Amino acid sequence: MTTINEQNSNQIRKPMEVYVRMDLSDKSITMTYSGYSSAKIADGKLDQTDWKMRKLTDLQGDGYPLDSSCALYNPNTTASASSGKIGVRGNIGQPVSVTITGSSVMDSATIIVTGASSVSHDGGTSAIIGSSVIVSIEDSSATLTFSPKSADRRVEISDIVPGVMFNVTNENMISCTLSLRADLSIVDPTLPESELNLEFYNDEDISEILAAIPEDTPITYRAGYDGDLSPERKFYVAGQVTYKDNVISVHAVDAVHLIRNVDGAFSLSVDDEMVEDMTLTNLYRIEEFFESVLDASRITYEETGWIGFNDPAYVRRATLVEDGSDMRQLFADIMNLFHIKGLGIYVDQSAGYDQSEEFWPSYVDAGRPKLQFQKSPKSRVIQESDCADVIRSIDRKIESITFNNEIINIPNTESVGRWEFMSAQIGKVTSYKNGSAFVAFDGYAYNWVFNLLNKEISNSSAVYATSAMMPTSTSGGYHDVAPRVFAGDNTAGFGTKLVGPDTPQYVNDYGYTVYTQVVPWNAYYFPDEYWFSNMAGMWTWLQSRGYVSSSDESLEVRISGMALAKESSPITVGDGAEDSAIEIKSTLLGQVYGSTTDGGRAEEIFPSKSLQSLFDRSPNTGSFTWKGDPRMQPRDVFTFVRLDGTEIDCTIEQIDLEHVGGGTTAKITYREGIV
Amino acid sequence: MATWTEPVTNRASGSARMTYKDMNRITGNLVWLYDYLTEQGVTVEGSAYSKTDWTQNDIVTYDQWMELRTCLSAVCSAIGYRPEKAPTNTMSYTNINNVETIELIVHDMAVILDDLARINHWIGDPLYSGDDINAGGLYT
Repeated sequence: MTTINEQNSNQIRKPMEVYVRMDLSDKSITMTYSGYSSAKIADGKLDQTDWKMRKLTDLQGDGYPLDSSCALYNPNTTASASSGKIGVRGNIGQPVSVTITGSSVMDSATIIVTGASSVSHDGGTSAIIGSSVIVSIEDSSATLTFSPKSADRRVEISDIVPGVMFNVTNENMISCTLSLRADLSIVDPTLPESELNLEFYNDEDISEILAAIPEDTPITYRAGYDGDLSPERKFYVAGQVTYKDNVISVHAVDAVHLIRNVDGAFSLSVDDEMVEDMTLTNLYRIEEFFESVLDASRITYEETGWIGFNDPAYVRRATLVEDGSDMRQLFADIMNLFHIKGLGIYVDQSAGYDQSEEFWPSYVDAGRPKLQFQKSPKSRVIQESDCADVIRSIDRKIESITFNNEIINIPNTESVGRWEFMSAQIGKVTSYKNGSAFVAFDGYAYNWVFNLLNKEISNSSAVYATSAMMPTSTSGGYHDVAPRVFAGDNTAGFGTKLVGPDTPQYVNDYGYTVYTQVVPWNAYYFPDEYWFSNMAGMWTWLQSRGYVSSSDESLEVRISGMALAKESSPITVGDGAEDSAIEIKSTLLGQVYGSTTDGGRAEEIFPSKSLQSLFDRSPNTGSFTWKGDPRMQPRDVFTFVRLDGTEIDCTIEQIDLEHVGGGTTAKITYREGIV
Repeated sequence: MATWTEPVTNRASGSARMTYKDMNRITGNLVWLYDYLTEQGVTVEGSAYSKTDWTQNDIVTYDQWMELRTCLSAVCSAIGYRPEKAPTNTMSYTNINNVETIELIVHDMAVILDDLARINHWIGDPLYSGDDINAGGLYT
């Protein structure tokens, strides 16, 4: 059995198997199967469409793969969802027949079969392209005879159901694109719909059947490798399914689409794993918190579940009745504001959790939020070097929040992620000869203060940087030279003095001199040539550059040290980068006090801690294209290893997963930090 | 008597496939081992493997594979060979390599045993009676 992790680690990967099913079968008709005595083996479970065909030690064709995926055929093994089924499998090169009998007249039947070139019955013969075919029956019974595709293959019938059911696999799929979305914006996030766009071949014109497909018809999607398929995702048809030039096109959206009006009901459930790891008391704490917010927000709800050790389902159904707010907005507010720290929940550390006492709603397939009280596990490490189309951007910095007309100012002293690209790191070692000029950093820096009078450079978080270098010489072998910290105070090796444009600093050793300086380019635009006041909220272009001088023309100098940034991916600045005040209008109101100690009820946890979470949310975002399917979804967390080795936790905001031409790529949009 | 076919023991990955020819070689060799040992007067428990005519139309059953394992175990026991790793029901390339490796080892042991028996036949001959290996050795 191959796994998605094995395949993702390969440069050349096996094509991912994709299974998409649109089920329009007639559930009112019961079908029975008989007359398949000519088959080699059969269990007749043709109505169990969710059961997979068991992979057997079948010697047809070029045999079976020795990858542990195939099982010895044992007629005593009972067919089931877990063990799979046999279906009806013929002798190689021989036709096989199945008689179907419905409880009433069937207009049509859908057959899922491999190894067959055609199926014939009283109504005629239908060619089979791919693995599925829809045949017209117009009767309560029919005998279907399948012709084998070749002399060394056997017909293998998986499903026969009354009505129409589309099965799309790699055999008939042209493209399948999933766009799974969350909105991690700091201000006014929405509840976006996820969608699926599918194109697949069908050799028969079934426009009439397609025209009758209603909106919200469910579509299921799975992808991966045999034995390691993704969990099933559900989508719902949105818009007309079309047929043109033998291609069927489907557009579908997830269950968020179904949340349409103020009368809709939603459910919140506690994650099963969370239930297993928590005591009943702590589940009540979450319940109390949730209900308190709903009460304060004048949202009515009813209990449809019960918290208990044996009943992990914890469901609340709520309906907005008074303020007329949009149910979708309520969802969005919950997802945005229910990331709360310090709820005072005991967690089982033996289960791998820490005591950070955080919980927040996590994204659930089909758009239904569920409460989860701990960080999503970092399920993948992604190397920037494996990515294409890398884009980095920064949206805005928050200094105050207005929350439903109540101004709450929280000092923004430690903005998450803001300075990561400016932190001191060991730079890429590069060799330079006499006369070489080099640039160690060339890009935007945010919110820096320049004092040219004192030649100081700093930012509001009291982090200092300069262009200290660590040169080594090739003469007589490499040897380290202590990094030159430029004049002035220093902390942990950081220089605090600005190396102004007219005052290059230098390191002189072993017959060479390296001059370095930091140039704040837009400082030139200020009228005062000596003092620039606090430039908080301003973007400044910095360049750290140097020059090598040596009396020995052949001497090479290797430069490393504190480059201000080394990532090659560009950083763009969003329109709101200089906004410092935001306004949150939420359907969730009131105050909730939670206990930070057992039995205590001293600390306000809502909305203050929710707003603190907004302050902590990084303004750094970005996107990239990854080589395969990371088997992740919005709000999942991954570790992004930058080109310089820096590791950053990031939360996925959107994944566009595209299966086309046997290949799979994922375009991922993220926000730094754990949102 | 069945014919011996050189086993394949160097499958390197799960992309290797098991064909009816492989099954015919494995079961044919198993029958050969049974016949050969029996001819040498070695007692092999049970009977020879029952199927050596695999075709593309066959699907290897659990019972057929278990019979193969039983027969392989019988020839190993008959010659006093205890494989380092017993065959399993997992259809992996390593397991099939192991099955054919066991057959090969049993084959080589059987042939060596036969050669030793022939040498033993000459003990007493003036030419060999002083041989350090055979005179008074294990097989005298």
